[in-house]
Amino acid sequence: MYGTGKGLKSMIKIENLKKKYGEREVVSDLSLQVRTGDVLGFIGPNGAGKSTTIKMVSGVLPVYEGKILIDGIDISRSPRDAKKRIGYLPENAPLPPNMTVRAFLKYVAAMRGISFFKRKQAVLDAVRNCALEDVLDQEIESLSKGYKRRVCFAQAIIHKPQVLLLDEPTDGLDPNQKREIRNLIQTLSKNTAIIISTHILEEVRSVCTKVLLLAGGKIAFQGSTGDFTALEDQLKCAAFSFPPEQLQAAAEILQNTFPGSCRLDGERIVLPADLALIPALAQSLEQAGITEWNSVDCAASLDDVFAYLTRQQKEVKTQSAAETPAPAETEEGENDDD
Amino acid sequence: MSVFFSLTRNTFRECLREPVFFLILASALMLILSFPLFTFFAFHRQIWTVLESSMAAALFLGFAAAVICTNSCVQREMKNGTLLLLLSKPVSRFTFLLAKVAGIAGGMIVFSVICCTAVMIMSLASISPYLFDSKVLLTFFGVCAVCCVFGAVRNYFSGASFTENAILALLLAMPLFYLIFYHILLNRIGSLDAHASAGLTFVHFTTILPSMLLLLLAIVLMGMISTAMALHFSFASNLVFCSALFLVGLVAGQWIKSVFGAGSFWGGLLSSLLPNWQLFWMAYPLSNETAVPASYVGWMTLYVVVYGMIWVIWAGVTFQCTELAKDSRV
Repeated sequence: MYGTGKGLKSMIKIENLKKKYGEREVVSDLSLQVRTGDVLGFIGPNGAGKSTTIKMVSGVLPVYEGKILIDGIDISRSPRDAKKRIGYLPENAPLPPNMTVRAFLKYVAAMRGISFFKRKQAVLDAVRNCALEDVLDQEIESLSKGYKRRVCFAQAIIHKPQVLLLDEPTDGLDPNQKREIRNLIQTLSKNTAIIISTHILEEVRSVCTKVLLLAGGKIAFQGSTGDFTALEDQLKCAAFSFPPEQLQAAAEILQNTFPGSCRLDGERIVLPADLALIPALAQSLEQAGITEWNSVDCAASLDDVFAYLTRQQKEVKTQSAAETPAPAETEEGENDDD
Repeated sequence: MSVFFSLTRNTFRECLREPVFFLILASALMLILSFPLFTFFAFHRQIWTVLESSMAAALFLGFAAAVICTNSCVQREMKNGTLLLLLSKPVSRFTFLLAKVAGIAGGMIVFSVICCTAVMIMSLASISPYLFDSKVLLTFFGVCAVCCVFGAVRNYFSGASFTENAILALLLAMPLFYLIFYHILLNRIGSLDAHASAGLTFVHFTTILPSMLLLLLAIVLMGMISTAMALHFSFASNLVFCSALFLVGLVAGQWIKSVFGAGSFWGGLLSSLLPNWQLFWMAYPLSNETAVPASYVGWMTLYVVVYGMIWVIWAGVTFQCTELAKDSRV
């Protein structure tokens, strides 16, 4: 595993970042730093604000409040200088369908300001790194999903950026391709600060040096990958066994009672231990006529850690909303400025 | 600068690769080709009928091509997310907009040159009031067919875009065909005696060229307006808006004068805001064989540049604040 890069240059610095769409705050007071050599795994449930944050860091979306510094350059004030240092792989890997891979990468090289004489070599390097030799002269629309993602990856690294923002880089790839991309990320991370937004927790374990979990626009966890994976040992889980004919009904009840917190493990249902002790669990099962079950302690997985942390964040949010006093109503005629 | 030129070049090529652009161009050429066949009963006015009808077809279909191109070059990029990819690079939004305008203007110039050359060729085919020159028409067909075959061959053997290659072949072949045929016809008429050449109406190159240039400017202006609108409106809305602008612009001069009277401030203001397509329409001077001065073409070029840039600057300013990501459309 790589170190946290302490002492190396801070390439990405986000300070008190906020983003609102109307009244809805999608990113709330986010601060983080990523140094050269760091690979930050950016995880969270759908709608947490991960892609929005990455789009703001890449300069595509304007910042509502806060600051984003890329190699010390404020992206709101000097976007062009900041973007020269950034390589960005958007989610869904959008690509122009009617261009060949070679033509597209040459075009991107031109957009990146790579001089005419160096463009060919830059394209060849990117093609070699992403294993695109076989499809170089094919039209992009005829490529498979995996190849399209690799083409999009190639355009992100063609100018050898100092900052790499990857939004679900291995989505749609087969296991071999995933391994290749992860190896490439690890190679690139030596001289690059990388943020990977992903849903694949195993990817976080194998590639990332740091983890940031975003839930509801707020940070639910921030720390090293070691600290994150250590929660697997710290988190207690209970595995419930039910009679085979009642397993499906029990699974439905538990999913409805604790949405997103339980998982099926073979013929057992695994819940975090704190939820397993809630009386509502036993009541729900008894009401459905399920009276025979037993539970044993079992090891937590990264999915359980993820579910636990996002649930904690949701509870904190609900609690703070309940504690916030409603604004006092003033009667007509009162003048507070006197 | 190289970023701007790369963007412009890419947009231009995208225009030419768009299949609907090719279909509209082909429709325009076939329509222009058919007009000489319908002028048998116009006799000594046949050439002006052909010219007027052909110019109208080129103008109307040019406007349609302009809106179609902005859909493929601008709106599709915004919808499928490639615009995000582009703007994550050190490319400002205004540079992007200017490059799109320049690229689409280039596409419209190609469209206009091909159509206007076809109009000029048809004017040569219609010089006699009693018969049309079938050799010209067949050669015209032949040239179009050869260009399409060229595009097909390039597509089959090297995977290049059929439409792009066919259109570029037409761009080279049509003016060449016109120049060759013009000189052949000029020499042929020169060798006829006065009686034989009495009924023939030969439109000289210098007479017709300014009118064709004005047509080109009108189509380019519509391309600029359509590009500016495409940043904010979907294809259907843009098409409706541009169609309305086209129709209103055609009648604006007469309508404003009748409502506000001559010399009115508000009439003048409205005239400045609306594009007056009649300023580009030279069918009547042509039919009266009145020369259009080069200075007029110069002024209209300036009008197109200034008026078009006002639209572009408005679009550029409003585009700076536009949220582009799909999840921003709450």
